Amino acid sequence: MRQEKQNTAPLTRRLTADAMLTALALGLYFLEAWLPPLVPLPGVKLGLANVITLFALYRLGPRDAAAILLCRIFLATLFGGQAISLIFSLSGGGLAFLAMCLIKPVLGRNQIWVCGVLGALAHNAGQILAAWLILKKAEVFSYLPVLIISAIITGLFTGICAQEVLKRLGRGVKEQNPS
Amino acid sequence: MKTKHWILLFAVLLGASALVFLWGRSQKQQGVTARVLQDGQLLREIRLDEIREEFRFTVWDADGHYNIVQVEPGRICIREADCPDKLCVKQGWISGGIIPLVCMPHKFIVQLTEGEP
Repeated sequence: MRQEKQNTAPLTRRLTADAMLTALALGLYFLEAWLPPLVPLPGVKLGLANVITLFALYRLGPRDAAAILLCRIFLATLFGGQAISLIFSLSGGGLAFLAMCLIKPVLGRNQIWVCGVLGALAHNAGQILAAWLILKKAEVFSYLPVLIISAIITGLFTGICAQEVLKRLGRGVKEQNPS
Repeated sequence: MKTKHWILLFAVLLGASALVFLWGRSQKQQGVTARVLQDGQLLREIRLDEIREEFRFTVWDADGHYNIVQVEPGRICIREADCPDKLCVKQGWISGGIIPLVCMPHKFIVQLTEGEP
């Protein structure tokens, strides 16, 4: 494979990659929101945007993945127009990111999907937590079994997606921060 | 940890959650409890799903004003009141939901909660 001559400064290339992934994540997020839900329960969703977070985490490292995630959350809230969704998105996305970062070192190259599932579980846990903080009613935890089931299934799907993408994508975007 | 152990872990978690969910559904009373409050004080709790015969009772406030509550199996309403607007009476029956019956002038509330009190 011919090695490309890199005329662009590494920081620019990194910024461009991050920006494109943010745009992709936003697109996936709103696409999913626009589609009619398969299961009409609150909080049960595919979480397609997490494919991007996973991809970025493995390909670019935690710093870039975090930046992409935060930008996507804030822009999505801005474009979506629902201020209250911010706290849910932040707690869900934040916990998911934390969980994925923590578990990543012990996983192998073929266990990226595990990272996805755990991220989904953490995400839903974060959403219940946010609901509890806002409503202050312990009844919200009774929703946990539903969200656990949903997280495992959807996390598996998005995790496998990310894993397959990472397997197939060559050295298009190199890991800038091997941390 | 090997991949198959992860698969096992998630399968167990999935199964356990499903079991808990089904158990919870069988446990849930679907019981609605009405709470009658006067000036913030809880006066009575009534399990609407355990009512066999209708009855009514009167609640007096500190100034001698009253609200008459009517209870039937599964629902409750404010039958009569001597407040000026009678909005509480006009609200009619409630049998579910989060919107309570409120008589503002008398600081009188009838609210519903899910499950046991």
